[in-house]
Amino acid sequence: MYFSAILSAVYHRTGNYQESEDICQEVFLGLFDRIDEVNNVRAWLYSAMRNKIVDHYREKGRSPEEISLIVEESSAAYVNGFRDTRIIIRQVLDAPDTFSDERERVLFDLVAVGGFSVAEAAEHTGITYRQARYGFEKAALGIADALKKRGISSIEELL
Amino acid sequence: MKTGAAVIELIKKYDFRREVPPEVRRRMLGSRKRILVKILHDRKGAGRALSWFYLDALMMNRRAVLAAAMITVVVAAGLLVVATVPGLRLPLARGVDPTVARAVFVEGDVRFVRGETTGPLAPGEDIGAGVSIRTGSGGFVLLQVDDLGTVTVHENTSFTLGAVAGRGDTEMALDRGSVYSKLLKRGPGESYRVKTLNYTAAVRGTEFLASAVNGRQGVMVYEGVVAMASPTATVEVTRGKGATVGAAGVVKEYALTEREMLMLRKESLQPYNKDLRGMSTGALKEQRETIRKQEAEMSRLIVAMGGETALGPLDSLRKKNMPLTMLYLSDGSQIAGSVLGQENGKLRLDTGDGIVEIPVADIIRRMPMN
Repeated sequence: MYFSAILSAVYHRTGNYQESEDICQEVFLGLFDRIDEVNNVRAWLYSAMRNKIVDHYREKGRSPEEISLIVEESSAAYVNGFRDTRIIIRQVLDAPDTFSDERERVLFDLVAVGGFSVAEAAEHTGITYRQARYGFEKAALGIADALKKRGISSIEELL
Repeated sequence: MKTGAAVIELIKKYDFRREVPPEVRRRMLGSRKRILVKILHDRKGAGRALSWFYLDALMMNRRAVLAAAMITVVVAAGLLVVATVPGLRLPLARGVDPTVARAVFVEGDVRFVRGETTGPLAPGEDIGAGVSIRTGSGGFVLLQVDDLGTVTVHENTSFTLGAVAGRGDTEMALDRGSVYSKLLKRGPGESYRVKTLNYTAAVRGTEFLASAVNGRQGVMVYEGVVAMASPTATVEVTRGKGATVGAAGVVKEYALTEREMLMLRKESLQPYNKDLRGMSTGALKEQRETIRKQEAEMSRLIVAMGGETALGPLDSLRKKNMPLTMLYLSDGSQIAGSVLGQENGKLRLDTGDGIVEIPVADIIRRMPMN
């Protein structure tokens, strides 16, 4: 379920598909070996992904600054003057209760963040198109509700 | 604007969008399967995680999963049909296990004793070596052993299966009562013995009645030859003859009367079903009903010849022209006799041996008998 989301995230950071596949494979091999010890699969995968990217570029002799630029998320950065709003949105996206289950979260990552079509997301997560469409709409409603709890009455306010 | 579309706009506007090019998205699908399969192959032995990954890999192709599920259902349904429809039964599944005796017909009070466990014997149950069968008044059970034949256990009988082997040595210990053995032809090295306190009857391919009733211990042979050995003598009892063993082990041979031969012929009506396991309960019931009619006809002939029958109390009721009824009880047992009346919620039944009272609430069904 997480494979495409992780591969997509790695690809976004590396910009190299072949390297992304190699890193992704390492990440999932690690998960496979520690599946009994892992409580939160998603958190573990993203954390392992960062570590693997760092290791990968260290081996290639990249400088720590370069690696930091590749790995670090820019969620807290000042972008287009919306720093506070971005932080709120990031918190909403990372909050454990925003999505009703992990499949919803993955669907959201694939469609809204990764730019996958709903049909492609359905194929990547092994569900039907209708299930994917419903799941994504539910995920979107979850985000709207979470924003309301943080004082933003509608998404349109932010657009 | 729909919530989904609004959220996508939001993600784009606040620069969370990390769009993956269409070509890469297409390649991802293939790499997902390839990498997961590779992980499975590289990490053999970590079985606990296998299903997690394998399912994930399978989910790549929902059509394949659906097809696999449908094939599984069709194969399972096919196996079920083959296992349950007699005509389609596979050769290996034919017949019963030759190392157990199967209860084909059970009527009246019949119980099994296995170690410290005891309970009513039900039709279709398998009985292995070491199990004892006890029948009460009016009790009857027909046992079948594949490749061996059938054993009819009469009322008030107690016997134990010493060893069961369709093609080998089979031994039964008769404590009291009588059993009628109808055996298939036995090959060299295959023996069948019925042991009582006073004698051992050993046979190959024959039909005979062995009894161990207080005053009369002996055999009556309907077909073949029975070697009867007492502590002091051994005799071969042939067709149409009987032999009794006295307390001192003295064996006396005698010729069976026409009436006694007719009684054995009645016993011989019990069938050996080659495809017993393939027969439905309905077919067995139908078979039992047919035999019951034939038995009733023969009983009439036996009674007409005079004298009480030595084989069952029901015939004595028939002789008195008392209508017979088979009662099917809630615990799965059956009891036959003549209904005398009903009082205080209890039904009085004359079994031929005595009168028993059965709570009406325990009676599921009544079937008139001939």
